[in-house]
Amino acid sequence: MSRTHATGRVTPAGDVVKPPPPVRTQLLLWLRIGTASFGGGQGTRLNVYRALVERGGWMSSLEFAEAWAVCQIGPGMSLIALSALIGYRFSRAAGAAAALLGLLIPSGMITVAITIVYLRLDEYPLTKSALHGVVAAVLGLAIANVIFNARPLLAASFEKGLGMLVLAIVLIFTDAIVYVVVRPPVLALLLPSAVVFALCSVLRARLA
Amino acid sequence: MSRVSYVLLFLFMLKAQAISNNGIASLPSLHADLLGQGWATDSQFAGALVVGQLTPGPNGLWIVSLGYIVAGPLGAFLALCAATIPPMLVLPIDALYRRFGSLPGVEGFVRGIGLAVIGVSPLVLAQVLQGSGFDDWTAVIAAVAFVMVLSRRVPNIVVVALGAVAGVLIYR
Repeated sequence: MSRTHATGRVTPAGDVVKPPPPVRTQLLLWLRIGTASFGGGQGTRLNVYRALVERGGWMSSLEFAEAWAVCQIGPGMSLIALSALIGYRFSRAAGAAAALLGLLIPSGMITVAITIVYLRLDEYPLTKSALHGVVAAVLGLAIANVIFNARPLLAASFEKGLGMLVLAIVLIFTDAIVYVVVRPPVLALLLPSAVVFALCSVLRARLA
Repeated sequence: MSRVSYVLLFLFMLKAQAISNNGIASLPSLHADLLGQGWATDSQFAGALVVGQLTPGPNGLWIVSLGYIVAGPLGAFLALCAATIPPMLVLPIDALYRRFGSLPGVEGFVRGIGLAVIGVSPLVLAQVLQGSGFDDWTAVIAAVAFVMVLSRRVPNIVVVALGAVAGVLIYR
């Protein structure tokens, strides 16, 4: 998939990223993510992006956005798929095991702990107010996640020409509008946009 | 409430994960199965869903919370195992993607999915928020949290904690 480079790995899109760290370092990174990523999936995805793309430099932001898209294709939770995918790309089975254990053991235990606390506190109005604030903050995290993924995908589209960029933006807004108006299952939206964008990419490659 | 069968609980959870591809999509199937068996109540489901929004890890870990409520620590563990199995299908999918990802059609297909997810995911979350009441303050807290994240100076955990503090100050 990638050539080696004096300073690291060259991604298919031509970005240079660092070679993955040792499995032990990966395990520690995932343990930290699994422990500190309060705010559900949005908080967790943001921390994965921060740790691996921004701080680590082991993946490009485009690779991350495309990996997230690949994770939508299969069944189950996308974040669990993402951790397995990244771990496997870094260090095969050992990397995938480190990612899954590091992410899920602490977060599973914290989930149980929060459940125990919540079961005792949920009748207090203060708990409801605090939760309302947390959920609002999580919406802020979600928008950040969307922007971090939109930027590289739009930039990659623009590299193929202004037409592809316009198509990408039109697809984003069309999907949003269709979702609001029709409320289809999410998968029923993903597939048509994937097919449309695939066809246009093939057409563009033929014409170029 | 009737006695819980661990084997059946695991199978229900596995089925719900296998037929859904995000955290909340597994709700209808589990809701039908567990209420059908008389193992859980609506308010227990609601509690578990809230916990899933708070805790580290995917939102879908709400099923671990539910597993604990329904069947204790072993229930939580079984839920975690059930959640881990279906997503492993991503590994062969990714192998195919890495092999054929440079073909314009495959590259476009994956990027098209990525674009659709960008259009839809904030709306899915807003839908969840509607249930808990969306008002002007919600938008303000979300905007402040967003700016904090973009500044890259404030860790998530602090952003979420400040959200809780703001919630207490505003909504009490």
